[in-house]
Amino acid sequence: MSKKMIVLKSSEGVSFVVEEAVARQSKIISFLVEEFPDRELPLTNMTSEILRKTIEYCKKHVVEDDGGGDSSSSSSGDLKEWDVKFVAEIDQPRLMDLLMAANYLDIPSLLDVTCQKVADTIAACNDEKEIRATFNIENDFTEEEVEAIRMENQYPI
Amino acid sequence: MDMISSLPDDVINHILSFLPLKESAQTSVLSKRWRILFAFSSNLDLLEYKNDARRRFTKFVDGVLAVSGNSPIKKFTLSCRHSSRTNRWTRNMLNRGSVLDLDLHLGIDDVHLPSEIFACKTLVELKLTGFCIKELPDDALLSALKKLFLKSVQFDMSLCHVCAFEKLLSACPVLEELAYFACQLHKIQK
Repeated sequence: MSKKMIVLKSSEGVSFVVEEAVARQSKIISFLVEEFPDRELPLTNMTSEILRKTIEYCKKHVVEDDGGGDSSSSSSGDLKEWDVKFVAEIDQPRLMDLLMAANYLDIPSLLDVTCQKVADTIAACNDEKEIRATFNIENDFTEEEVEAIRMENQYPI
Repeated sequence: MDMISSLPDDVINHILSFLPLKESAQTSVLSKRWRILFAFSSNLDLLEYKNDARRRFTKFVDGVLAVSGNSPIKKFTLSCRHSSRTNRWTRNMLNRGSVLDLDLHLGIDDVHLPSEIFACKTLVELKLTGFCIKELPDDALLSALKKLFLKSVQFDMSLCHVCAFEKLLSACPVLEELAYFACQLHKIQK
């Protein structure tokens, strides 16, 4: 039986032919497929690279969901392991792009995985200076302001 | 602006909800953009580490709850010594109408829990450590509760001779998991 395919187009105009079940993990695409059947869907704010990554994630997750039905704990464990590896291999700017893609396309599990990775990166920093350096955050506080907020918000340990 | 700071507030809140409050609170000094974002995390774990930091802890929690207003909370953990404020904090959380997971540990065993806990329709997981439950409110119904963990909880017989533990169980129609440790489930009849 041939599976229904849909076409997603990246910001560079590259077309990706994807199984509908794979793409439907995005709530936005799911909605668009119903509203505009048999149409190419332009994703103008997603680069080919990020769209390819997003599709890779969705493919992996749709296969596992189909194969195992109510999948056993080991296969959901494998999937978790795969997720961890998937985000570990991505550098930070691309991780942020992927996170934004997950948010834009409304793919809750991909948003969780990418947000968790960002949270882990924040947690691994020793202090706020390291967090700023890691994410290129510009400090627009004076030193006095930082001290005042620190006094106010420091979690009593 | 850098990429992480230009994310929408709800996405930053989602990131911060994966961190313990102790760590997410550190982000308040990153920049003006991050000043109060940590308080809007959907996962608040308020853990008092040291007895002598009581005033600072109270001030910190009051501040976080005041800033976050009515923003939805999914998971609330409170572990500290009981005070006049602890019930108020718990009520504040329950009143937001979104708590799925509640974990209370107040360190002494004769504390009266706010009765709203037993009529919370959103709770899926409830963990209580160190309480004495004498009576459940008449409208007790935890219609969504699936997991109940009790540690060092004493149940008492109410005036009308209904055991509070039995009443609690019958108020949880969809309970799937019950675990208890060092609990007194029925009052010993003398």
